[in-house]
Amino acid sequence: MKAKRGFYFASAFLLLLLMMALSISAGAVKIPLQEILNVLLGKGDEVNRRIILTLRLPRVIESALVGMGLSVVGAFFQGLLRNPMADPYVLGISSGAAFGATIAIIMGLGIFGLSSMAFITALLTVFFVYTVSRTGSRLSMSTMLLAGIAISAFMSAIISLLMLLNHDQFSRIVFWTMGGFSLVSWQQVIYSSPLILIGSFVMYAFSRDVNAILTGEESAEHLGVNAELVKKIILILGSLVTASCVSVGGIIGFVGLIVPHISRLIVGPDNRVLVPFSALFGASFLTFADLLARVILKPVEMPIGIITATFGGPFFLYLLVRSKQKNEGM
Amino acid sequence: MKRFKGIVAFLVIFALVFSLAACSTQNATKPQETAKPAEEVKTQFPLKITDFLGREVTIEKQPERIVSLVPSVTELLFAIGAGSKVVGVTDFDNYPEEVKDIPKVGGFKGPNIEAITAQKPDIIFASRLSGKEQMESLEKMGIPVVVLDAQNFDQIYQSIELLGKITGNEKKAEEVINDMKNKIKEISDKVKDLPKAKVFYLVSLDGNWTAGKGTFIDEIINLAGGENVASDVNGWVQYSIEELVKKNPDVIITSPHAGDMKDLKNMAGYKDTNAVKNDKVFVVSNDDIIVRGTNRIVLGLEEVAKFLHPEAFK
Repeated sequence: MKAKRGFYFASAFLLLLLMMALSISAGAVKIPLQEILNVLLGKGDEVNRRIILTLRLPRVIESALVGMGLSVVGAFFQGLLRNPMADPYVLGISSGAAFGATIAIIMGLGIFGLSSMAFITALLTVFFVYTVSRTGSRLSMSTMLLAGIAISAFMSAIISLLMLLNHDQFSRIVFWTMGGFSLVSWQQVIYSSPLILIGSFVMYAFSRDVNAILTGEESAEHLGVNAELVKKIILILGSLVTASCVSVGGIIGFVGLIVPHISRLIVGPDNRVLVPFSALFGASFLTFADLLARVILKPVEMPIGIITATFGGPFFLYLLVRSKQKNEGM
Repeated sequence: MKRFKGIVAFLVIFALVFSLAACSTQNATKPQETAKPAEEVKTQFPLKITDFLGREVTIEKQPERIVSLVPSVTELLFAIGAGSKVVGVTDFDNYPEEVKDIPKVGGFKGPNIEAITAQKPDIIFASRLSGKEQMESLEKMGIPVVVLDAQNFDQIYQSIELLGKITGNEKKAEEVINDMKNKIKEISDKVKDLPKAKVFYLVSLDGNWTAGKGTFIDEIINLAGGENVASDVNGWVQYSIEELVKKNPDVIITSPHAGDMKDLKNMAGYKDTNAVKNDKVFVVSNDDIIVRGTNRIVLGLEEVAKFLHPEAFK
């Protein structure tokens, strides 16, 4: 079993390296491999340097980071909420962020203001959901789910109303809610990476405790796990990570839902294995999706959500059918 | 994709048919007017016309109550002196001033059939975006619906001519067309021998939207003595920043609603273009004069030409 896990991790890691290399070498502007190596070694033509070092590289890194963050949070939320439909956005984060972005666009704030606003409103929304679902010191997961759905519907309605009243900003708002990395620069990578990386690692440190909670909260308490505390920590960290992902990439759907499921089908439900595997696989998946978004219709860019859903959906279905057949065979 | 190509081919064919039709009607009407120089060039009703979707529409009598679901058509109706007959417009209509007092019968969510019917129109001008079902149900009530949404300069002329014919303001319509043509000629004469500037038009910073071939903006840039760097794409698209850096535009033009220009000047990629380095980033004064198919588009053209070739307009 151990060896098998080693094999999975090695291949996931290689896949990520491969995807990142591929993403750096392909794009709307065709740059030969030799020239890319020159650029990476500090030589090469100035325009090519600019394209690779200031546009492509931060974009590739950011898409890997966001893919990782969303997948890790998705894996934990699906476990904690005991709901296979759960994704990082289930607690209203996406609609909260979209609401903040809409306000920022209407107020005419710049890109930095927009990201910060999205980040803050996303957290406020989750905090509200959290407060509503808390009774005493206990946290009801099903109430949280329902409250998340309710607040999402409410926020979406407000966003639609704001778009109706400000129809000249309509296209900017719609674009933002679709997500994408077309304007990512080093600045965004620097802002978002600490929270996404540290948040994901700290959550990973709790994966054994979450395993225990999944077998039943009471038995977890017997094992010395403070279930309430762990749940709160995961929810808070998960929200922070998701909010930073959303504030740079917009609402990229499907990754946080599908990647943990695919990973679970491959490596099983143990969070100690599932979480790091999801992280690597999610990073590769989103990097690849962004690559396709850049090159399929070049020089036109496609919204990345179209790619994540069209490639993730069928692949996931294939895995589902295959695992069903396997189980029947046993 | 295949379907999209089909639609594009369809539109191209239509555009061709229309330009041919336009030529023939122009040839047909012109000698008529030289023959009858008098004020009254009465249109014969019932009038059969072909609209921009290629549908034949019969108009029984000269319309007195007009509903316009297309802001550009509303503008043109006022420009040719038929503004007083307009009894219903959309929420998007904002020009001229008078439209503020005209009842709104549609908007964001499409036309409102009840509000339109309540205005008792004898004709409705619609666009391709007006909603097929709604237009069909209005036609069933016996109200002629004419689809008129110009996509290029020639179609603006055609719309003006058609509107003139329908409302009986043919003379004024011809004046408007001639004014437009003269102004365009005046501008393009000034810039046509100057070196062409490479222009990128930024529609929206979020997503890096631009306007490619087949848009008014592309046509304006060409007439203003520039070259649209995004002419390798069709219509409104999200353009790759990498490609933009490679093409390195001399001038960037954008509109008031595109986003924060301070961002643009500091943004990776944009920062290194000739346009930003030489401080050649311009904002048009008003979105409408560059995207709406009306006679005001010459104002947009003039602004853009001045951005590209300030030396020619001293």
